[in-house]
Amino acid sequence: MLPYFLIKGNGTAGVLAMLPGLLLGAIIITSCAFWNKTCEGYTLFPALTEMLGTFLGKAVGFGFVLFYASFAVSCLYGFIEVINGHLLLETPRMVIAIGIFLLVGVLSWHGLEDIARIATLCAILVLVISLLMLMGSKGVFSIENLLPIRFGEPESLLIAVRQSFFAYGGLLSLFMVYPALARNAHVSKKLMLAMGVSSVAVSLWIILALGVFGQYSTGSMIWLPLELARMIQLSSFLERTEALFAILWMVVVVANGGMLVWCVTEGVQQLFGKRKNSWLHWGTIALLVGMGMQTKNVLGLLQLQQKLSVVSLFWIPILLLFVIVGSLRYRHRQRREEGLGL
Amino acid sequence: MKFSSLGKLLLFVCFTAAFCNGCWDRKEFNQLAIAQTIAVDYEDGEYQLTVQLLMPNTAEETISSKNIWIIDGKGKSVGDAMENLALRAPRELYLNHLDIVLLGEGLMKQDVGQGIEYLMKQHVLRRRTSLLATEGRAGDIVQAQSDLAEVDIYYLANLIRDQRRHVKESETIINDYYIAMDNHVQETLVIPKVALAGEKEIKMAGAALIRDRKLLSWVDQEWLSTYFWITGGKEIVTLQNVGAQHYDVTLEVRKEKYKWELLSKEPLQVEVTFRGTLYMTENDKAAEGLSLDELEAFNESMKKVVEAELTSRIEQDIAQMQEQGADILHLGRWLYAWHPDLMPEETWAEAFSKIKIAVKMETNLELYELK
Repeated sequence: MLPYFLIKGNGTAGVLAMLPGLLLGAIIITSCAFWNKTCEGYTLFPALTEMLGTFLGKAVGFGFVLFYASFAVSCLYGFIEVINGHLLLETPRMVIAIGIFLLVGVLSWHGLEDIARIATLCAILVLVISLLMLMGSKGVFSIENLLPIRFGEPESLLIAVRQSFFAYGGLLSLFMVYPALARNAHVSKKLMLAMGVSSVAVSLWIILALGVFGQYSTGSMIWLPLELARMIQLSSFLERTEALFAILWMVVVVANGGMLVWCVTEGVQQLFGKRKNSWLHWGTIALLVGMGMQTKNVLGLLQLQQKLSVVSLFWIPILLLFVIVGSLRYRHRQRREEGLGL
Repeated sequence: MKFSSLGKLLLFVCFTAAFCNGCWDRKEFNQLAIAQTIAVDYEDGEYQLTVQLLMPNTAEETISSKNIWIIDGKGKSVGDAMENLALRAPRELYLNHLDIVLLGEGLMKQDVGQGIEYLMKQHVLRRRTSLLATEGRAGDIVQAQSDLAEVDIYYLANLIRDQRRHVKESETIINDYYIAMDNHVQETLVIPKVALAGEKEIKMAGAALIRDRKLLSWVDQEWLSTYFWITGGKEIVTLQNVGAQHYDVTLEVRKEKYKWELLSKEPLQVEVTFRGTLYMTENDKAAEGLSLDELEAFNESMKKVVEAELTSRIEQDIAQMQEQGADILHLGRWLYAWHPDLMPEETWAEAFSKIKIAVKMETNLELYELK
C-alpha cells in the first residue's frame, strides 16, 4: 500500500517522500549494529531485561512484539485483500487468511534459515517477473506523464512521510534477526545495500506505474503494481499478467510475512522465557489471524494502516531510544566492572 | 498411535491444499457465457448495455456462430443495467475477457465517464480495453456482429488488430481516456469510429473527438491522417507530375515519432517536427534512364515535393484542430510537462487556438532501386 499513500496528492514527487523513511532505516541498521556489538551473545529480550531491568525490559520487549504483530497483520492482510478482491472473488476471506497464515506459520516454525533459503531461491523468479513487467510496459510508458514534479498539499506530503516511516520501521525486525546472523563485520554494510536496492526497486515500480497511468488518475488506485500488471501485455499469447504478478507478490509476502511472524512468535516465546513452544507459536498466529479479521475490507485496512503510521511516529523512536540508551548504560556498566576487575 | 513426521507432513499438505488451490473460484468452461464486446448506450434517461456472448459447448471442438447470443439490459444507472443483464443471461456472465467497449452517440453526448466508471470499479474492464465509437446506437453494431460471425467470429477484434498492423498504436484504450480527461490540460481524445457498411461488413470510418468527457465532433478517415503522425504507421501518398517526364509517383510513407520544440515564449510559438521514411512503391519509371548524379538530384527534389505536400496537409489539419480547440497532438501535455510556467491562465481549449504552430518535416528516401 506504500505506493498508494506516496502518490496520492503528490504525484511523481511522492517518491521523494521515501527519503525520511530511508533515513530512519539507516538509523535502525546503525542502532542495531551498535546494540549487537554491545550485547554480543544476547538475543533482544534478554538483552533488554539486562539493560533496563526486568519490568521495563519486558515492557519495551512487549512494545517490540506489538509493533511486529501490527506490521505482520498489515503486510499479510494487504495481500489477502488483493487476492480476495481481484483474483479469488468467491473464496471467503477467512479461508484465504487461514491458508496464508498456515503457510507462513510453518515457515516461521522452521526458523530463519528456511525463510532465508526460500527467499534466495525465489529471488530469481522475482527478478525475471520484474523484468517481464518492465518490458511489457514499454509501449504504454510516457515520460511526460511523470512531469512536472510538484509536491501536493502539505497534508498529502505528511501522510506520505508517515507511511514511509512506518514502512521502513519494519526494519526493527533486525533486532530479532541480528543475533542469528553470522559474526561478520560487514553485515551492516550489506543491510544498507539491501535497503538501498529495495528502495530503488520500489521507486522504479512507482515511476513505471506513473509513467503508464499519469499522475492524476493514480489517486484512486490502491494496488498500483497490480493495476500496472493488469495493464501490461506481453505479446499476444500472454494476457493475464496479473497472475504472474500475483506469484511475485506471494513470494515477497511469504518471505517477509514469514520473517515478521517469526519475530512475533519468537518475541512472545522469549518474553515468556520459553524455547520453541508450539502452543505459544500457533496460539500467537491464531491471534494474528483474529486481529486481521477485524478489518472487514480494504477500507478497514487502509484506516488501520493510517492509524499505525501516525502511532509509529512516536512508537519507533521510543523503542529505538530505549535500546540505544540501554546499550550505552550497559556498555558503561561493563567497562566499569572491567575497570574494577569484576 | 503416534504419527510419523512424514505422516504429519502429508496430512499438512492435504489440509493446506484445500485452502491454497483456488478451487473455490473454479469456473467450468461450459457453464460460462463469455463476453467479448460490450456496447454502452444512453437514451431517454436510461443506460443500455448490449453484450455479445460466446457460450462454448464441451461437446464441440470449435466455437462457431451457433454459440453466439446477444442480450441487453436497461437501467437508470449502469449498475442497474448490469443487474438486468445478469438476470437475463442464460449462463453465468463472464466478463473478464472483454476486449472492446463500444460507446454510443447518446452516451458520448451525455458523459463517457459515467458509462465506464461502474464497469471499471467492478473490474469488468481493464485499462487496456479498447474503446470504439459509433454514430447512433452502439447496440446495433453488436447486433450486426452476430450476423458477421459467419464471416469471422471475432470480426471487431480483428478489425482493430488489422488497423494496428497498419497504424501502430492506433487504437484508443481506456487508459488513454483517463490520462486525457484527468490531467490539468483539456486534451481531446480521438476514439476510432466503426460503422456498418452493408449487410456483411463493419468498417473503421473516422473517429469521435472527445473533450471534457463529452463528444466534441465527428471526423472522417482522411482527417485522421495527421493524427496518425502521432501514433506512427504507414500512409500511401500519390504525387502527380513528378520529374522531367511528369510521372505520377506513389510512395509509402512510414511515420515515426514526432517532436515538439519551443521557438519563443512571448508570444508562445512552437514547432512540431514530423519524421518519416519514404519508400517508392509504384511508377518508379520517373527515374528511368537517369545517371547516378541525376538520380541523387531527383531523389532530393522528390523529397522536397513530398515534404511540401505533407506539410501543407498537416498545416490545414492543425488549423482545423485549433479552430475547434481540439488538441489531439498532446501539445498541452508536452507544454505542461516541460514548461509548466508557460501554461496560460485561460482554458487550454481557448489558448490552443491562439498558439502559433510551425510544422517541419524530415524524411529519408529509402530502397530506391536502380534498374
